[in-house]
Amino acid sequence: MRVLVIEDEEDLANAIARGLRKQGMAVDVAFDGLDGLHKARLNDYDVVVLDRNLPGLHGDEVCRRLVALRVPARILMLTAAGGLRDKVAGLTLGADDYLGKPFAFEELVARLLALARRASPPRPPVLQRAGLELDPASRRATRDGNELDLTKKEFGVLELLLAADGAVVSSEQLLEKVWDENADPFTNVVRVTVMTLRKKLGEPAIVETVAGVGYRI
Amino acid sequence: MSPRKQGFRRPSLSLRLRLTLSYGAVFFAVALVMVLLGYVLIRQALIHDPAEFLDRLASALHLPPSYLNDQIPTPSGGDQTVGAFMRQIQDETVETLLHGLTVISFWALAIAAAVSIGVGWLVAGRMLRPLNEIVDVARSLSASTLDERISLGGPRDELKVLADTFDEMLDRLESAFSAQREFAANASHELRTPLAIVRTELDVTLADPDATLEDYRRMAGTMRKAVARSEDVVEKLLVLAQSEELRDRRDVDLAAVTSAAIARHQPAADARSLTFSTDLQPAHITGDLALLESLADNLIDNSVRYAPEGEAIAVTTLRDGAIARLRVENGGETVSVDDLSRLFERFYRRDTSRNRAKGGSGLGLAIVAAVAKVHGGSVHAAGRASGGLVVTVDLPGDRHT
Repeated sequence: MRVLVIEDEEDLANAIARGLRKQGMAVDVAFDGLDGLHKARLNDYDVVVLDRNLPGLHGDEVCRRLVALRVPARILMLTAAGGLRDKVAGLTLGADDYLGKPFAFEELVARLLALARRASPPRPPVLQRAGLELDPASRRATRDGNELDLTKKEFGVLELLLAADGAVVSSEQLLEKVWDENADPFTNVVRVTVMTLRKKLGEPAIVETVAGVGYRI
Repeated sequence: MSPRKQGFRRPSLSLRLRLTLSYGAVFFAVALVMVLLGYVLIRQALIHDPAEFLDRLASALHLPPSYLNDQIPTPSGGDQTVGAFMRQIQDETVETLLHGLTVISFWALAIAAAVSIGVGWLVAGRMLRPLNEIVDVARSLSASTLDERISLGGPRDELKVLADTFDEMLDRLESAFSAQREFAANASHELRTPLAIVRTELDVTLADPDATLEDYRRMAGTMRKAVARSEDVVEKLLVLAQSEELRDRRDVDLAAVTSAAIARHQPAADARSLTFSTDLQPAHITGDLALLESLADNLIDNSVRYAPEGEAIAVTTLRDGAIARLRVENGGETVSVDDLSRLFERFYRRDTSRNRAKGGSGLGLAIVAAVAKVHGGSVHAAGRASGGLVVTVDLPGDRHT
């Protein structure tokens, strides 16, 4: 799951990014509206965490443009102006959710996961396929009831493969969603991660390589 | 029932009823006087002096006056003179006439009074209808619905003037309320942001079972910064609140206050290799020492924040006639005309991420403006051709110096 945090308070943006990364999300950060809009158009995010009071380009305007550009990412507005009017205004602009500062970090994570589920097609809270079960909220994965000990990246790859529901997921998509913008596009991290993931999933092998296209379960 | 409505009682005798009754009473009184006057005049016209009446009657009938004294029999069997008989007939006729007149007059009076009260009721209602509109609007208003207006149409009469005045008052109230709301929203934003930083840092670091001492140190550092920022905002909000009115009046030398402020900012200036070039001449004013100190502090602080590293900040105090002047000049980015006009607004920050990173609360120059204003002075900002800002504070000087 990939998230963009657009927040001008650098300390806050960094703390949020650190916390979300610990949850296994791939997180990019933008400190002003223009940079945020640019990144949101460039990369394929699941959710954009958008502060309202932004320099460069106001958060409302960023939201409006993202909606107008039909960027598929869900938008969670984050702001210190937590009055009813602000909430209504934010949601009217096209935001999918709204969270007032200060907030409990757990709540932010829960809302982000809920928003990611509302992607099209919608995902169930717990992903299941071929004896595998994966719960993004508690970050647990099991195969036939046996707990799997996965790294964040392995977990992310497995999550995407399960969410694809049998369809093929390309290496580029995996790189795009599981790694953040600092990942080198020519790297073989995806191949390596899929390899270690296969090892941990054990026999019989269920992650199938579709030559020249990608992977599927 | 809400307490607001409980306090609002209907008047016991409405203005409409009072207007109608007084209108009716006046009409009735005037009509009564007219009727009585008519009655009296008609009565006078009808009842003449009896001797003169008989004389005129006799001459009109070409009868000798003695004829009137002839005796004729009466229906009851007695005798009377012709004159007396005629006078009796006349008296009876007049009596009948006057009785009829009285009856008709009083019926007419009663009908007219009833009609006048009815018409008065309608007219008073019509005249007072705008008042009801005003009352309805006034009653429906609360702090959150100040956008309603009476917008009374019709001729420019007293009630229209009242309604318009009421509308104007609402305009002023609404803008005062919305300024207040905006201020509260801004203040809460400024206070919530550091809280959000603290909360998130705590949540993220404490939830991490693998957090190292290094992580905790960094968390503490970030939190300390956030707390300092909250303190700064709270402090500045307090100063702003205190600068609403002048509580303390004493002789203050602007030069001494400025010099002390410069000394307080020397470490921050050294950190950015800034120097001060000062020309501080005595400039005494009568004012609040604490407020003037924060004026100087915030002015110097602003320069130290925004002056390009390694430059000099020029600070001048002087007496110019009746005016004590403090002037601070520093280099920096070119300030747009739009920014110049809004520089002294509360929570206004020039909208660049570079400025946001400098950590100003957006209240410093607002405090400068508020303190200058409460001392009866003014503040003026001008951009420099080479970039940067000149801020001039003019305060009414002490007459004795």
